[in-house]
Amino acid sequence: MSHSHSGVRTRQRPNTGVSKRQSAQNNRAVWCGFLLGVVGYLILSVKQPAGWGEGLWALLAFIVVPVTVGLVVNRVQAYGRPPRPTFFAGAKAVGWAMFFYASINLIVAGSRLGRPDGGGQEFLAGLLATVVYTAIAGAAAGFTNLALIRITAKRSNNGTAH
Amino acid sequence: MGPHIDERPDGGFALYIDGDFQFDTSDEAIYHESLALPALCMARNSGVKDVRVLICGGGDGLALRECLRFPDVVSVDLVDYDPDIVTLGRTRFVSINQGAFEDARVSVHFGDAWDFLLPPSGDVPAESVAEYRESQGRYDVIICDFTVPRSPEQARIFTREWYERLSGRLTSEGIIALNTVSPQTTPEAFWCLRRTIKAAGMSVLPYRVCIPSFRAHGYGAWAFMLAANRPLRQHDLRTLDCPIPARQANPSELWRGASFRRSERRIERRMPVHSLTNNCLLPLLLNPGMAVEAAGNSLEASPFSLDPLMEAIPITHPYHTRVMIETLAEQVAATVTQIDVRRLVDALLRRAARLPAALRDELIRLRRFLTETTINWSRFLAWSARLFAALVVLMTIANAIAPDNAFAKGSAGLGHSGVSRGYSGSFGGAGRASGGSARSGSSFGTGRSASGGSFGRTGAFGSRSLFSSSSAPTMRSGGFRTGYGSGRPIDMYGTEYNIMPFHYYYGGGHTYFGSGQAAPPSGPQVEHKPLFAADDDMLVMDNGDVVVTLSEHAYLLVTGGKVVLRSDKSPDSLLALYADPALFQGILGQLNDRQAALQEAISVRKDWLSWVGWTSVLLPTVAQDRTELSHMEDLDKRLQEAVKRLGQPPAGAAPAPALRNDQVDLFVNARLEPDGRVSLRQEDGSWVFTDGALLTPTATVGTAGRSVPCPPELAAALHSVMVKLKKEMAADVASNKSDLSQLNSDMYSLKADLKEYENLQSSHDPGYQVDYGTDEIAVSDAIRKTQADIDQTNKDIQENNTESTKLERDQSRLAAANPALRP
Repeated sequence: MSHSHSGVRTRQRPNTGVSKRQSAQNNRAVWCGFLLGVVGYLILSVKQPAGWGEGLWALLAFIVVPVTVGLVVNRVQAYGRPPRPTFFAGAKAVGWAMFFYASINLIVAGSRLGRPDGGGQEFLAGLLATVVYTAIAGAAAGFTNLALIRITAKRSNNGTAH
Repeated sequence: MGPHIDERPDGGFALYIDGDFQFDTSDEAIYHESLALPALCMARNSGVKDVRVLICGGGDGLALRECLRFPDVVSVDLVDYDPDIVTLGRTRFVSINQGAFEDARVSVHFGDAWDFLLPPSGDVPAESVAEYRESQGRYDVIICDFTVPRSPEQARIFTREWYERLSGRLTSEGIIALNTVSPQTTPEAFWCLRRTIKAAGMSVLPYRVCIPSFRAHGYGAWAFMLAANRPLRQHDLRTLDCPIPARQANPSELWRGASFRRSERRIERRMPVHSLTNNCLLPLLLNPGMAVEAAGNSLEASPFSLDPLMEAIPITHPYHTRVMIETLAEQVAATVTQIDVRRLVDALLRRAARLPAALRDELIRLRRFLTETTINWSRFLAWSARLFAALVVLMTIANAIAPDNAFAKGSAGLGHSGVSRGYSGSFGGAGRASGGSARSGSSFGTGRSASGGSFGRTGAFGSRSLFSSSSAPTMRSGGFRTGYGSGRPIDMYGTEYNIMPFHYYYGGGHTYFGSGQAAPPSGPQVEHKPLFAADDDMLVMDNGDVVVTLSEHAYLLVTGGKVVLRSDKSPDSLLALYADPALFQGILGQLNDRQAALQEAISVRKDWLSWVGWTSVLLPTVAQDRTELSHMEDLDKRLQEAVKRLGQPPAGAAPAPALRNDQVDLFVNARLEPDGRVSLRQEDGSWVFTDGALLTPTATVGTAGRSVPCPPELAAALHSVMVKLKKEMAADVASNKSDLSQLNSDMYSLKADLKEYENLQSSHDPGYQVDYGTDEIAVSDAIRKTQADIDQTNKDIQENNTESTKLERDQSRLAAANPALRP
């Protein structure tokens, strides 16, 4: 609200030229990525070996699983997508998986504290953690997908030039 | 809705009619005396001898009660349209209206007061003529005790036409007393009423009264009015001479409430007259502060139409009658009509004008943005639906994993997952008794499992003001966050206890008549603070020593494989006791149990903090969780240290011999003997006897030559243990009696059930189905199960009797202890 604008600002969707087929492929990519993310986080939910520290967990949860999902989404997704939908396809797939993973684990962890008067701050902490983890994992997958699309496009362009 | 009585535990009650408060027994006399007595007194002062009274409304009989108390009243006509209220007046309210309806001077008429006071020249309905003729005549006093109107129909008996009828039925010296409304919360309605009465040709004298229960219900100061066909002045009220005593009101002081400020009186000039053609009272009541012109016109437009509303409601439950819906709709409409949008907007604009210029500009910009921005509702709804669906899925999954936590009302963490169950079981009070651990249930000294793992005979934290009645334990949530290490011990629940530090010196104990009978070594005492309350009577000190509290002053110090009896009254040890392997095993088991539970709690907190630990910079609760975790880890280390320091009893040490029937167990290796002395098992395994004055070794009873004087500190310590024991035994006896009473009651019920089942079996086949608890089973099975219950109850009764007998026997032995030890 700090800047002024004189006229009506409308947001228009960019002319993506995405066909229905591409759109369906995009949805399929998101679902595949989501399922893979769920599987990945389910594996992480299983009791981890004693030597595993938080660093390793973070590596798996925020890098390995999202990047893997980003790769899969990229493989399934139609080529030639603009950056924004590309990013969000990966982000949504992992983001939802992480959302469920984090929130369920936090509910269980919070309940195990056995503190009936835990109240609002525990809930806030859980909510904050869920949102942040979802954002980080989603961003990691989104950027992976975006980077792969760009690399593929560059290679494709180079190939055409030759 | 009708009448509703709100009963109070003290026997008083309050009456509500259609949700409106009417009176409370605690101060109803203020109301009814203030209403009735001034009018009656003024009529009497005017020289009226035989006072005829008409009461309109007042079916509760309370105004009637006041009239009947008045000496000159010869007849009272009471007319009320609600038979339910009059019925209550004749039944439930008899105690407070003093049976007023039974008085021969009273005539009760059911019907609308409006019809009851038909004008002589009026158009009289045929069905009311007879009643009118019966009651025809004039009254010296008329009391109107109506409820505050909530509908146009009810407001009819507050119109100018109504007051004209009242005026027509009043004698020349007669006077009318009216219950009105609050001049404080509904001033417009109040002054409208006054103006209306004046418009009916009468003189009016309003006065207000403070009634606590009315104020408590938000009605503010309440007001009444006196009206007459002759001039009324405040002076009349001031010179009131009441011939009967008032209970709560003060008639001679009522005149003080008759003064109104000029600013208040000025409202009257702006108020319209409430009449059948200008029904303005109700809007003024519902909307205090309402403009006059609005009041006059507000009822022209009906706030709602019921028929479309009825058609729109798809419920056809028999309870949902038209009347009910109409009532509800009226209430909603009344609430809505109270909102004066014009005033609200004016007030908002006035407030807005006072805002800083920059903020105002921002708000104007926001308004422009909101009006100019087109919201994509379809997109918004789609995302809302997705979010909602995700939440539903999440909650469903969460509920599948942790049902109670996701949806329970408040009791989180009470064990739905395996881990939680272990956690609460270990921490919970039941954990000790039901943990299945043999050592958990061990009781050193009492021989009774009911003590739930008490090491000292009496579970004697009470000795240190832990459970004593004079100092209840201080309950603090999150004791591991704040209380740990503060010098006061906490238990596994984080409950903090007020226990003073212990002072002792590791001089070691000595034995009497044994191998180490040298004088007890003295040395500098060091203060040791209890850190952790591992059990009812077991403390872990800050240095890892274990202290088992026995009584007010006595305790056992258990460390390095030794057990020493000490007292806070003595700088030195009193006696080195035998290192009983069962005691060590029990203590070790308890420490291990606590440590396991603690490690589980640490694991849970670590798990939690691994998720949310980084939010501690934002949320104090999470920062406290970190503190709690570090405290728990510290305690874990100290418990490990305590296990190490505890040591082991010497190899080959044997437990104490079984308690004889004629002995009373005081604590581990200490018993009250049948001869009234106390026997103590010394470090070397020999027994020493004391009567509080002398100490005598084993097998030399009565051998005075070998006896030595008993240290007074030892006698005092043993005495304090017995005092504590006596109190506990008394509590146990009372508890046993209560249990026995319950068991006998159960037995009576079971026998009755059995008899009934047998009757049923004799008249039906054995497969006949009967109720058994919440199940339905064959009568033969019911008989079998009931018989088994009877057998079990019999067994319980026998056990209870045995225990009671033993307790009583022990009590009598305590009473027969030597005088120096006797509690």
